[in-house]
Amino acid sequence: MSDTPSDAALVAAVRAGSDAAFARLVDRHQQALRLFLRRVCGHEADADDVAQESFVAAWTHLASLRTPEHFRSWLFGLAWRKAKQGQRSAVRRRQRDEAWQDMRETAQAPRSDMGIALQQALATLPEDQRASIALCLAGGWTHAEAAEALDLPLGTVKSHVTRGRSRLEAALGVGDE
Amino acid sequence: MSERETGHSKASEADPLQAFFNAEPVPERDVVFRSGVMEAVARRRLRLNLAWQAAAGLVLVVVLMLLAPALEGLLVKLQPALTLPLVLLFGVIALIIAGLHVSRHGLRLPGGLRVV
Repeated sequence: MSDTPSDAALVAAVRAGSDAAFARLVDRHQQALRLFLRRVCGHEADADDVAQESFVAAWTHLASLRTPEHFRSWLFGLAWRKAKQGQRSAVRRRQRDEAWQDMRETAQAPRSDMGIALQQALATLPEDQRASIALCLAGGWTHAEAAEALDLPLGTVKSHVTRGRSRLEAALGVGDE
Repeated sequence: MSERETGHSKASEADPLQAFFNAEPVPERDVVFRSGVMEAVARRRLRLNLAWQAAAGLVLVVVLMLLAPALEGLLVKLQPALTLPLVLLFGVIALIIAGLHVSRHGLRLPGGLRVV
């Protein structure tokens, strides 16, 4: 017997006032969302802040979601727009926080070499390309799902994934040799 | 479906890039993160409720100001002895309405406290 309500059912419950239903939505999507944002934002703390803000914004604007079964795409679209807004001010903040980040990384478990290399390679990609890669290659989304979430034409997403993959493989030294 | 739950793509495990994407996992269920989100939602709910109540109070004040000339005329026509009972009556009605609201919805205080 399956006891896993769909996103649409949980959205309906949240609209009826259920905090437990919203907590389930958070549990269901937080991992994928935070991974996506870490890849596009480049900084773990920034990414988790944006993820939290995105969930709160989703709760606030849930009444405007016309297709509850597409909650995931809608949530990621919200997060992507917040991430782009945040990146415009992130450069200034990052210069100020760089010393603190260095201290924080030594206090916590160090990032793997592969993780660092990936982040540096992703940072060289244009933001739309980076987001398309993060969803399609890393997250397993279809091109159509990514196009819906990022509000981009399908052909553009396919192009971003193809070009982004080539650039990543070149930067990381993998693929055809 | 499970590949989406884990955030990793099973279909491309042979993809050399996949090893890089899998290098930094995020916990599947992060209770601390979820608690942070729900706390932020509760704060947002409180702010929205306060904003609505402030707006409702403002509307009530504006309506009473607009009705003041008519109410004043009505009170002047009535016997002065009725003024005090009328004030008491309106006060009791307001307390009943407030009490019904608290008994149905409780009184939410900052910090997540709730008086029922």
